[in-house]
Amino acid sequence: MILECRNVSKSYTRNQDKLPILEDINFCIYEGDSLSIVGPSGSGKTTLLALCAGLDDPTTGEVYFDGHVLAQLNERERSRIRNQRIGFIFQSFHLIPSLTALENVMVPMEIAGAIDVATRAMEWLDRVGLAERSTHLPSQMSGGEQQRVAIARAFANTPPILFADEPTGNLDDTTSHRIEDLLFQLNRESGTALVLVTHDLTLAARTSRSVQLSGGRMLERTAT
Amino acid sequence: MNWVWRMVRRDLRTQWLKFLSFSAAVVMGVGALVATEGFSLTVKQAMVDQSKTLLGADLLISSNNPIDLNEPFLADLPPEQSLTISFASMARFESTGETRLARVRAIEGGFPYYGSLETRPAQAVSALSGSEPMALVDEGLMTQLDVKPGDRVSIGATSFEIAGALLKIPGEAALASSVGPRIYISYGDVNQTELLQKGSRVNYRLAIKAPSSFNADTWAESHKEQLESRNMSVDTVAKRRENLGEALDNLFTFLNLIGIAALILGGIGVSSSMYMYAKSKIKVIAVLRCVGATSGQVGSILLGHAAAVALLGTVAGTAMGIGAQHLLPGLIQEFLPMQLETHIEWTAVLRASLASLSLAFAFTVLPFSKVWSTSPIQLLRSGTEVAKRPRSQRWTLLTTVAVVIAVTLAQSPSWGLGISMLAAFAIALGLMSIVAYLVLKLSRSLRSKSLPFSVRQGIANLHRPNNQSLMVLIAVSVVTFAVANHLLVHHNIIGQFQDAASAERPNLILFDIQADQRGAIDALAVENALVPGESIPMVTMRLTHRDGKPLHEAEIPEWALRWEYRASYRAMLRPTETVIEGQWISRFAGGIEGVIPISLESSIAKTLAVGVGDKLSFDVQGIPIHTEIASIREVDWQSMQPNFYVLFPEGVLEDAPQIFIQAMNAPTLEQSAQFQRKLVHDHPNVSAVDLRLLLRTVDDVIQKARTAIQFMAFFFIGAAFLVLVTSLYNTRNERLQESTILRALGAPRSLVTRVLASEYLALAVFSTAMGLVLATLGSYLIVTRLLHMNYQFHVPTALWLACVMISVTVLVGSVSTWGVWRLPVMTVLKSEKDA
Repeated sequence: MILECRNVSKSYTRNQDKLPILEDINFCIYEGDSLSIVGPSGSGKTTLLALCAGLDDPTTGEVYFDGHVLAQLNERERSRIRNQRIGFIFQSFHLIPSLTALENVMVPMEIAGAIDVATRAMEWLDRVGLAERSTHLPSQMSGGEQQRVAIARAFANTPPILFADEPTGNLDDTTSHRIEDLLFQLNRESGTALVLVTHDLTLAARTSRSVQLSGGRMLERTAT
Repeated sequence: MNWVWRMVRRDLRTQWLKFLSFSAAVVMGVGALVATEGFSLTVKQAMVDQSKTLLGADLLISSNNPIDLNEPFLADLPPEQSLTISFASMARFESTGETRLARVRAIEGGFPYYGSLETRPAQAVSALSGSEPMALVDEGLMTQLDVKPGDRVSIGATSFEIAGALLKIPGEAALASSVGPRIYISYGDVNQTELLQKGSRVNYRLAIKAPSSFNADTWAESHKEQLESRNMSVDTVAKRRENLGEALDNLFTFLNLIGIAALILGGIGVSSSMYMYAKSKIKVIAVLRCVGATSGQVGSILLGHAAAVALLGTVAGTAMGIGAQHLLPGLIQEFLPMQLETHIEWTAVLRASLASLSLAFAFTVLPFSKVWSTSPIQLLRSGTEVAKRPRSQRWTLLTTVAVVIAVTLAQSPSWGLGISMLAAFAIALGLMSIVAYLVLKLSRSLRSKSLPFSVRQGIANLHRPNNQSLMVLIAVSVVTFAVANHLLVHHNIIGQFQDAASAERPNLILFDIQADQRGAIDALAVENALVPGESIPMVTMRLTHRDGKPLHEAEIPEWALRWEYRASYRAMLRPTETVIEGQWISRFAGGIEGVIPISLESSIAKTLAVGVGDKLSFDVQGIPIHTEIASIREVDWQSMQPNFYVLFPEGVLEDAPQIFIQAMNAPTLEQSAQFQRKLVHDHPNVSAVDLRLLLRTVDDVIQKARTAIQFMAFFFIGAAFLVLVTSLYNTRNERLQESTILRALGAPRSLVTRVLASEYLALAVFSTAMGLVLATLGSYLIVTRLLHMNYQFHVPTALWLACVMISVTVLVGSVSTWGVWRLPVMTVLKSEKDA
């Protein structure tokens, strides 16, 4: 097991009022797993993703990652986990605009202090079909191409888990399908667990399990 | 660390132009600091290299009475001595008939011992030792009056042939020739001029060249009492260097103030630009944090960006400063008594560059401290606020303040001056920020619904988030303030002289009139259609005792001991005089044996630390008289009329040796010149000054000083201008997006243009008005408190400047958003979404 949410709740205090976002969430993710978190806007999907990735701490309950309680790790240990154990893909791609496609893919490996970084990054670009665009800046690429670079970056350190927040939300249908295929192909080939946040039920249906949220609560856990 | 460096290098690759534009704001400040530092080192080095030339001798003894070389205490002086006599006299140039008041000098012996009189032709100085009466005349005066070597000049009763032009006198600034043109004649010819009579104002100077075994300072110190008792002053190389050093320190402080002010202003500007940049970097920082970079690594990358901006600014500014180092000596040379050599002072360049770099870096890094601990959650929740004031930001702010203080203190001659400089700048900037803030706040209430949409929208845009309106307001008002303050002060100084020299008021002042010449001079004036004024008597005297005690026992400035008081007597006070304490006594019947009630001018009373009822004793050319202060007067010295520190009542000094001053009105310069020619011919001992010519001289000196000041002010104004440009340019995107939304909603090009124009016009009008108000206040304080003159607001200057500043601001703003209507709407909206 890579990740486990145990009785996780999250609330924010605004003007002395407690605003519950998530309540009593429980689930596990295993190696090579694929899980979708679905629900309407404001149901707490993104908050749950942030808690699972250690970007935020739960108000109550624990998130276990590799057997460690994420909230108990210091900033440096969390950075190391984000670098070597987690991959991220975002709706808006979030590539670094001043870096080329190759350099964007190199960044996580460089932070990890890996060797032969450029060759390995090139291999990843090749796997997502963008070897020829390696020297291009994000502004010179289409949305689909940018997302493929983001996928290559997310897989660069071959993390055991990958979080994707609405990965096809900014793309047209054809491009979306190609990105989805790529994600699931890499999920299968590299054994990386895939956690998808989406409101696209067709995409959610491609994952092995699904967690449905409504008003911050888990309605059901389904195997698809 | 390698990765951090790689990331900085990668960012520089694509963003160097942006970084260069950010750094532009500090370029001027760095340039000013490098130029000032280099110039100051050049001058100090010249002062050391030419220290003996500054004096022309090892020791100078001066007195207003003939120096008796048989005095026993002068016996131990080295034998190589030279005597100079100097006095003011009218010089009449025979070829043109023009007359001028000149400083006549006659030298006996080998002075100057260090350095030499430079003349054209070069050998002209040797002509003074010939048998014929020859003269050397200041080159400036010869050019002005179109006089050539070989022409003749009359001084008193003697006609001299002009042997050549005086180009340079060791230890004297070139500008001295404009203020008081000098004529050198042979010592043996002085008596023939018949100008040295009893009561004449003559200065005697003994110059001594000493062997290395003789210590001039020790001699001066050990003979202090003898010198003081004989009213002699002494000057040595060390003393001259110290006095000059003090004066130059003031100059360097002023230049430094401009440099530091420009750098701090630029620093604030660059900080403001970097703030915008840092905000735009939040997403990238969050991405880096998401892929595992620690906040330390992110912080290091941002420090690299800050260092790059600071370094670019410093390099560009240093290049500019090195260029300015070559220009500054040429601008200030005329004011300095030594020759400056133009070369680059690399030590100074390095020192100033490092100081500038640290200051620029402190300002550039400040905005990053707020964002480098950005949480990676920003990528998922863009609304999540970065911590309001993280601890790193507090520390960075404190460090920035510490660096500003340290650099300012390091660049100041003393800590006290440095602290005053910082305090003054902080107060000025704080005041400007408060006023700018209030103006912006007030502008909200101007959005009346009766105004057209474009104007309402333009004013509303001043409050647009990230608009940097405050920065633009400060930048424009700083430029307006600096220029308006400078112009208004200049107009006030010149205005005073213009009033004094007007055709309706007395504009020709005659000095040194003997009692028996008064009637003839009045007749000559009437004959030449001049209106003669009253003859004012002047009696020369020295202060000997205060409240019965000799002066050396009183704690008063040394100069007051040697001061020759030129007192007058009359029954009535003038309109320019006001009694502020005691009572004016118009007539005294007790004669010179009694205690005479006098009136003292307020500033000299303060210097002497005396008031009404205190007693002062004077030596009136050998006769002691005792007085009591009956009243203290305030005198309007700007009236340019003969005024006196000490005023006696009638009935006391009428029989004392005295000369007269007379003010006259000459309607035109031609009438004045014609009268002066006849005056010099008939009464060669009488000197005359036409206030209109004096006005030209004052204006000439001010113009020369202005050029130097303007050169340095250029850096300050340039810094503010660059802050304005970068502030407007950096907020270009906000304007672009808003204009595009308006276009998407169907606004035509003309409406978009009107909205932008209204915004720039509102910014320009508010900031120019702010700058003018502050400049009026500043110039009023300078004119009334520092120069003690009456203040006049010059409306045309203010209007002219307001038009220029408003036009420039609108123009810079328009250029920064030029072509906004040509960009496709979707391109802009898409880029906004992607950002």
